[in-house]
Amino acid sequence: MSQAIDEAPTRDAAALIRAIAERRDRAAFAALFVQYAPRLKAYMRRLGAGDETAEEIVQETMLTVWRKAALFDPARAAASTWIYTILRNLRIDMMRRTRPLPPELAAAGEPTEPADACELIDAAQRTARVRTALASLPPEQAEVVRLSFFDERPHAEIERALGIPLGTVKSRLRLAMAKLRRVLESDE
Amino acid sequence: MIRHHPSEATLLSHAAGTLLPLHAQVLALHVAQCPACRHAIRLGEELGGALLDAELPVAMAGDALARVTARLDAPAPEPPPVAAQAAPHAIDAVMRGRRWRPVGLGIRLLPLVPRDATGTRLDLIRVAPGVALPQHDHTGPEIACVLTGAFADATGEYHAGDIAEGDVGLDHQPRALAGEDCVCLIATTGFLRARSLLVRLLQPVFGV
Repeated sequence: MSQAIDEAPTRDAAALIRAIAERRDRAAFAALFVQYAPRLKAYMRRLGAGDETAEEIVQETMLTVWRKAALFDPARAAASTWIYTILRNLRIDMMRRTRPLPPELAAAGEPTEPADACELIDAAQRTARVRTALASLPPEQAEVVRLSFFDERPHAEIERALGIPLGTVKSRLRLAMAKLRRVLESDE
Repeated sequence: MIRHHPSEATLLSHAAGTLLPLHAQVLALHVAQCPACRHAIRLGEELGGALLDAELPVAMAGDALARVTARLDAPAPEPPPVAAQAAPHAIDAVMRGRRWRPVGLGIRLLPLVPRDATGTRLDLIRVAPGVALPQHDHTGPEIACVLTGAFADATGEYHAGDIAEGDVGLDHQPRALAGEDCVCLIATTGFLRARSLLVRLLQPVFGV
């Protein structure tokens, strides 16, 4: 086991997920756990979750990764994006459990999108570009992107709290997203 | 043809999972029929992946891996039954067995979810052709998706599939266009503040 962990940094996450899907590879799962569980926990803590809740949801996320590994499509999403959406959906499910909706509405799921054939670059490259673009955003734009992820208050409330004019968060987000799109859609 | 899309802020919050759940229900109706917005949400999910990668690891409990490994062979729980229907049809199902409540001349309301812990409620609103809602302001965010018919206010014309968002500071008087009844699914956080004192006095009676 310790050997698999030592090897973790050299094996990329997509290959680990594939090994889980194809061979139910426990060493690959352990390596993926070592790589992602502490980051997933950090993400949950940033959202305000207590230690126990964070641990619990990370465990569920990694268990779901194990069970759904065969559904992972590296052409459609990078490993980090896929794992991120599993965490997010589990969080949303937890919130819904506390506030039930009429079942007919709750059932309206997300449509699944096939990978975009016209895209010039693959998912892993896209993610590398997104990461670079995120790092290069002006601080005030990066801040509002982070707020969208880590602050659950409506935007107008955030603006009041930050003392910035109404509509500023929205216009900064528009600029940030436009920049990200430019970075992703340029062919180099 | 869809002309009005949700704001980038709303799409990003949706990708982040931080959009209020009832607002997300309204957004889902639009997203189901809008490839451009699905694309934007995917970009938001990629941002989420990048933020996850950028996190500084926080140590898990010492036995965390052992505990989850012990559960790997347990059978997966049955997923909740998912109706294989598109969201707009879900609305028909929701309406079955419920009754429209008149809340004014030519305006009817069908409450779906009462105000929740976030102060958000979900309703269907049905406005007869040519009828206007009282001029009003908002104390919180609101998101509506047009199901049938169309309405217009100072910000434009909204037809089936279009999203209209309101927030603190939007003071408007939506009016249903001629033709058929305009039906919208609407999530409202906070309260609408009518300009007219009479309407304000009547508000507690209608509960909007």
